Amino acid sequence: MLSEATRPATDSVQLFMRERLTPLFFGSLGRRLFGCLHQPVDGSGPARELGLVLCPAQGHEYIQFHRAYRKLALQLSSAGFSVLRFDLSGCGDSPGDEQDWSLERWRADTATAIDELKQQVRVERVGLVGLRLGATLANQVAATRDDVEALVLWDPVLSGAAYLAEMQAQHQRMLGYAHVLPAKNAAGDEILGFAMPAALGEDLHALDLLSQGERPAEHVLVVQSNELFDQTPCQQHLAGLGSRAELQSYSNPHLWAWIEDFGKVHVPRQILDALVSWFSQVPA
Amino acid sequence: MKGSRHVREEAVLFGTGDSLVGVITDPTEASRGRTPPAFIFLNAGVTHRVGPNRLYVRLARSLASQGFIAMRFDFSGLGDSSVRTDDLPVEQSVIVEVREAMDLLKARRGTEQFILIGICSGATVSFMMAKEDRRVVGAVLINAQGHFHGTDPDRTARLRDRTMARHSWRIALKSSFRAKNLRKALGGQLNPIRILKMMVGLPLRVFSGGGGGGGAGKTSEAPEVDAVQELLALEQRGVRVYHLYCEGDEGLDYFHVVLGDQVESVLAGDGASFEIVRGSNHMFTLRWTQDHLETAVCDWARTLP
Repeated sequence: MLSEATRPATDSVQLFMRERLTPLFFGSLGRRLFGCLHQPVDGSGPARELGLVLCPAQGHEYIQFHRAYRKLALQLSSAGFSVLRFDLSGCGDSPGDEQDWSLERWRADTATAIDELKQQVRVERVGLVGLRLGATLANQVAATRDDVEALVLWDPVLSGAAYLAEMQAQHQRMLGYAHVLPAKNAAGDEILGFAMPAALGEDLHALDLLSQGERPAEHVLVVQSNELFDQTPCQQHLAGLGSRAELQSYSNPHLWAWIEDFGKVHVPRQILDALVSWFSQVPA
Repeated sequence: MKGSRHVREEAVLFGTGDSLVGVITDPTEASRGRTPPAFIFLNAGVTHRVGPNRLYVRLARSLASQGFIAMRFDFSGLGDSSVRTDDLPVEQSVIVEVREAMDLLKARRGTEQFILIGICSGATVSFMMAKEDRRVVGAVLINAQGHFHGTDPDRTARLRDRTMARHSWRIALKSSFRAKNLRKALGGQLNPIRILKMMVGLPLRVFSGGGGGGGAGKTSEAPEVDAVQELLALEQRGVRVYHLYCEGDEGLDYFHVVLGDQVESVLAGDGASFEIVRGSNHMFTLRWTQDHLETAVCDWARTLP
């Protein structure tokens, strides 16, 4: 049974009343994506010239962080921002499956989402929030465009190879304690409930955020959820490229751990509040 | 995912104040003759409408490739749906919202019969709703638990203790996980004191009647008999019920604890199906178990009249 704990407090109800949400499929035929457009109800907050795109994590991290991202979009729209959340190709509600997974495709998806937001809400400049692998993709896409003004990288994947190794280690731990028996001919091409196609694995092995040579945006906030993911090199690298790069560190030691429970998700409110505050201070 | 790459999907807002978010998956080919029943997927815990490991998306698209309309949506306060602004208790709001989903499909697609499908709490609500609304002609209850008795906290606690006691013994001694457990024990990965407490402590509480409120221990009680009556009533109404459990899920033990020796008679009817996915945890984490679930649900759907 659903818990009463899923019911929000009165202040959250008021936030919901201050947003207009539109679920939609967008993009060109054959490359459609699912998204949710959150717009402030007219007159409910200061008018913002910056539109925001929330770029998702992948695999179990996407599922476990959906609630936090939905909450972040709600808070941002309540602060006057128009926000587009979207699902990558073959993920979430977007068409396709793991055969559509590649970093190149997902970078194109991110660019499509930016263009969709600009068209939908008539803004010229955008800010991006990227989570984990979504952060790394957002960083790469931002570096190829001149309309990304502000960028939040939340525990970005600095090394694809290390990320893959970390996920595989979590998967092996899960195999040790969960009530699961691998198939006898298991190919080892899965991680924590999701496929890991060989082509994507190869993409990830080549992924290195610190080798990127273009400045992604004028304003960058790097969020480090816990000390396991030291993001100091990322902040220093982006500062070296000319961004006003700030690092904020938090202490959420289990934030990215796989959870074997339908009733538990992470909503790190302190970080969400910090992101709303940061975007509200980005110069117009 | 078999033949499901080219289904058509529509994002919808519906319900009071257009506060609920859903996605309708349409069949690749229009049905000939009578509109087939539509599948409606109900949230598993607080996981949003794509389902654990995106299973609801995968199942919806597979079912659509077989000619069924499928809809997944988020209950109020979950996923993308907004919260309710009234004070309706959750037990009632889920009923109201499933009805709103059925009304939407009737208005948009002309569907008059529905099959509810859910994992965990989604299965519990599916069973509640099958009893409540005659438009429901089928229910796929995956790892359902807590659906056969009322809301009395003493009874709930008592059943919980009996379920956990049975679960601990079954997993340790009678499941496919026995060898794995033994290896873990020999490798020092299990805490023997904790295991001993679980295997002895809970049964002691159950048999001494101390399991959450001074109940009658193992004795069958009226509400558990009611569960049998409810299942038989659904059978008489022609409602098809598919009870599907993962071997590692406690719901399987709840099913046996509540129904006891009535299990065989409940499953003897034409409308009832039962399956255990051996070697799977309750989240279908391994890919082969997801494949198995997809095949099982699609095969069951093909047997619908």
